[in-house]
Amino acid sequence: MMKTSTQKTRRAFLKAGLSLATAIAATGWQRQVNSKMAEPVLGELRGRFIYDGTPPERKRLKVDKDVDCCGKYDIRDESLMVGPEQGLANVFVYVRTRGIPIPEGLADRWPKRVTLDNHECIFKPHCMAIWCPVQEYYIVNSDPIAQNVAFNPLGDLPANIILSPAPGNNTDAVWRFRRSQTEPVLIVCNYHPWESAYILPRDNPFFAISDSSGNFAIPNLPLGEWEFQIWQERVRQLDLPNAPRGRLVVQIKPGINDLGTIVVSPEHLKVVA
Amino acid sequence: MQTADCPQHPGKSLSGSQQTWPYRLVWAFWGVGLATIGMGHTVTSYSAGMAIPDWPSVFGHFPFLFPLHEWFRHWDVFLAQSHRLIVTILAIFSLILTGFFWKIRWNPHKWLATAVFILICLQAALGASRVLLGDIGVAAIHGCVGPLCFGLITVLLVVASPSYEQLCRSHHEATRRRWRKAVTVALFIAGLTYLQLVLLAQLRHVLPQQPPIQALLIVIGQGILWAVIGMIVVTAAMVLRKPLCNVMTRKFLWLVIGLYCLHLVLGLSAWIVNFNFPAWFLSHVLAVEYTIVQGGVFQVIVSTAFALVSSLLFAASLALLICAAVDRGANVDSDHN
Amino acid sequence: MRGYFFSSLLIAVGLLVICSCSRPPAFRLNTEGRDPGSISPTQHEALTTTLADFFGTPDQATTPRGVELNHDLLHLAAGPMGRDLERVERGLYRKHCANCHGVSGDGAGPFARLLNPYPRDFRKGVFKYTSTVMGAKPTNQDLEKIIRQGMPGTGMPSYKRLPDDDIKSLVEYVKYLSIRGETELYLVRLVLDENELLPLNRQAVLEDGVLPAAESWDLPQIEPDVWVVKPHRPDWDDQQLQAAIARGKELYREPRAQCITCHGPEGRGDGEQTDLYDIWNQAKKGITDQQTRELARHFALPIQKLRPRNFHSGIFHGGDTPEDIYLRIHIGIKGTPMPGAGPAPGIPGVLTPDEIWDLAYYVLSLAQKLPTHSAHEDSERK
Repeated sequence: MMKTSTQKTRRAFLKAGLSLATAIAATGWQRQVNSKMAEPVLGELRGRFIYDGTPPERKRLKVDKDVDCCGKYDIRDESLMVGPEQGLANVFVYVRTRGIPIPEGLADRWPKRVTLDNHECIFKPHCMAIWCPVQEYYIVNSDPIAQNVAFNPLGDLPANIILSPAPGNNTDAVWRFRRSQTEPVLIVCNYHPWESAYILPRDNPFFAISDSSGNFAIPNLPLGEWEFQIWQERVRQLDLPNAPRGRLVVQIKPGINDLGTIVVSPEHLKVVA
Repeated sequence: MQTADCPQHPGKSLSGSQQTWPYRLVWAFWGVGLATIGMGHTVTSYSAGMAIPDWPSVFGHFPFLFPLHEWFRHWDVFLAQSHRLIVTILAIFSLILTGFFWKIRWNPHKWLATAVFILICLQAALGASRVLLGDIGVAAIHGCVGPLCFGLITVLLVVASPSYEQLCRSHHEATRRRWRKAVTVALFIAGLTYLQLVLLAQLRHVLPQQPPIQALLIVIGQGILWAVIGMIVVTAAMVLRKPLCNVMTRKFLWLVIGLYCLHLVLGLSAWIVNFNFPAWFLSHVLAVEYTIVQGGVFQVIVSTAFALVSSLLFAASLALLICAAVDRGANVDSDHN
Repeated sequence: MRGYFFSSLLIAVGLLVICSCSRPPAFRLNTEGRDPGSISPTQHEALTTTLADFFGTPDQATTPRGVELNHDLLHLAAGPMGRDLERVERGLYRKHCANCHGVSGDGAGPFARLLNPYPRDFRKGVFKYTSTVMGAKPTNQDLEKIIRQGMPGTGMPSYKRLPDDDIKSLVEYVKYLSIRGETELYLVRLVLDENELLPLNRQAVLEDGVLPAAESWDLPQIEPDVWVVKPHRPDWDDQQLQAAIARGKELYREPRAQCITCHGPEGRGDGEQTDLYDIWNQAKKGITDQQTRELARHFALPIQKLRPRNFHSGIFHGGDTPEDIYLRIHIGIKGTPMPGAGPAPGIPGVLTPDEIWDLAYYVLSLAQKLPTHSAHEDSERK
């Protein structure tokens, strides 16, 4: 039977529609493939530090300046912080290998600043790390007394900043590190000698500081074998049985790379019973 | 005219009138020696030891034909060249004097004059080595031997003096014990003042790579020596009092005491003009604001004067020693040992 | 007796000859208080040869490519002191500076132990009295000023009698020692702490260690408006001056300036803060006294405390003109706990320039050193 012109037209439209749909589907599929190919496969290093021992009582620090303001706080030594379930806090873990590639676009997604606050007569937080080409260091004073922030990184400008009492003007400052450091830099207050903190400026974002549970995580790591440094302020390079001088070589595979529990005993931190 | 031999120094002696001209010559010699050592200390104060890099030529010129305008162009070159010339004059003078003493056969001065000449030649050789080797260590030795030369020239002056001849011929009998005490005390003063000179030479010719503790130990050593010398000088004043010693010996004793006090004052001043007041003083309400002026006239004068007075103190102590050795006392004491 | 005396003197002189044999000076490795026994011969060799290849020796100063120093001036300052056959005086650093600052610029020269405060250690690249903010390197003029005027109340003399070229030569050599020192610190940490594989990659050391140290000296020259503070003394009459002093007195006691903490309520240096150290001595301080004693074995000089200035003594190491005091308050004193109160890039500062002038004049009034001439008259007299 001969097809009518209407049928021919309908068939043509159907063919066109199908072709278009196929084309759209193919394009979409290709895009998905492409996007999957563009996204680098990254890994994440995780672990947990636990303190294998009874932590000594944190020594109460001598508060003999601005006692009216600072005397009311229970200010104690922060060099050995053991949290719930023996979690060891404030341990730095960072990539030591030079020239580690940084995934594209990571700098755009990274927070633009790291903040140091003078609060309740101590530095908060006690340990920080900063990706120095990308992030600025925001230093603020929340205390109603004048504060000072001083540090002296190797080969970089030294800082010795006064901050006015809060609330008011001139209670904050912005600092830029110009150089990566191989280990954290001590921060002190020349007005209040009990105050201290550590900042680690690096030229990449692959660092972490263990939290109060001892957990740490370094995401966005490129795949490959990288050397990591473990650092704790009491002994600096934390010498462990499977990490001499605190150095650990890890093969980073896609996804989570869990080091598991890393046991740190009192001898490793030179804690005398 | 007494021509008897000096019992302590047997041999030909000259009569009083025969002594005059040789004695004046020795005085002149001593004057040139004083100028030489003064010049040497000034060269050190200005760190001009290597201002002329060659020896015996002077920037390639024959030493006595160095152009005058070049000589006066730079102060350190002026000092170094002047020092070399005056040392030459001293050496020639010494040679003439020695020859003269040998000719007139004046004992014991001819031997002493010979020793002086040899020591001057040694000192000149050290100075030449200092320049040729460019070695500060040799400069320090040069700084130690210089005062020795000057000391020996002073001894020659004392021994050549008519008063010394009289001292020698004195027939007073001091007890042996008193004599031994006098000589021992004088010997200690001479030895310790020389040791202090040696320490000072180390401070003025310091090696740049020397550890800091060394200078501190030297300064502490000098302080201890000062104190010890002070005590011995007081002892000497008691031992060598009238009537136990001759007026000549006592004069040298007073000279030693005077120079010791001046040495102390100059030493403290030299510290201030080189290192400033100590920190504990500057924290005090009496703090004096002072800025050291490197190469300034005041600094150079005080530093040079300190070194020169050290040399004079040593020379005076040698003179005291020589006199104490021959002194038989001003008055008879019937104590015989 | 006399024979024995003179022979013993000659023996002493002879011993002196033996003991005084001097060898050419060499740079001393800065181990930053590390136990020298913990450094292996290979590591020591790597450090010393790398530094020698880049910077030469005390007798022959060289610089690697990219370090822009004037070699003619360096040539005059380096080497043993004395004139050459062309009558040119060389070895200026050895003659004028090395006895206190040391051949390596480590502030541990032969006379260093006799001085309080110690001579400057150039190797950290930090200089106390400058006109540059935020820890930036000093300008050439800052260094020339200190050399020319000296530092009252310290062992640092005034070299005003030296010709200008000699002073420029010394400044260049100080910068050389500073760049070398910072490179050395970088290398020591790289080799000893980081356990870097040997032999070292010279190009990497040049890019990561040498050039950043050298380029930091260029910052104040390239951007003087950002880094250099130029005080402009107000032209006050007596009444205005007295009013400024009264304001300064109030500011001195205000908590935001925190002057009293160290300098005391009357400016006598008797504040509550007594345990103060500069960065050169802080490195010698252990956590415990025992640790400090152990560290002392690895440093040439024992630890020295800082004393906050007693303004009544009238002795200001960095100069006592109003401009000098202004700079000290604005910038602080680098390397010491004395912070800068004035504005700097990224830092608003706690005092305005006017307030800093008030405080400066108050301090000068305590020292009884108020200027008798205006700034214009002073600069004309200079």
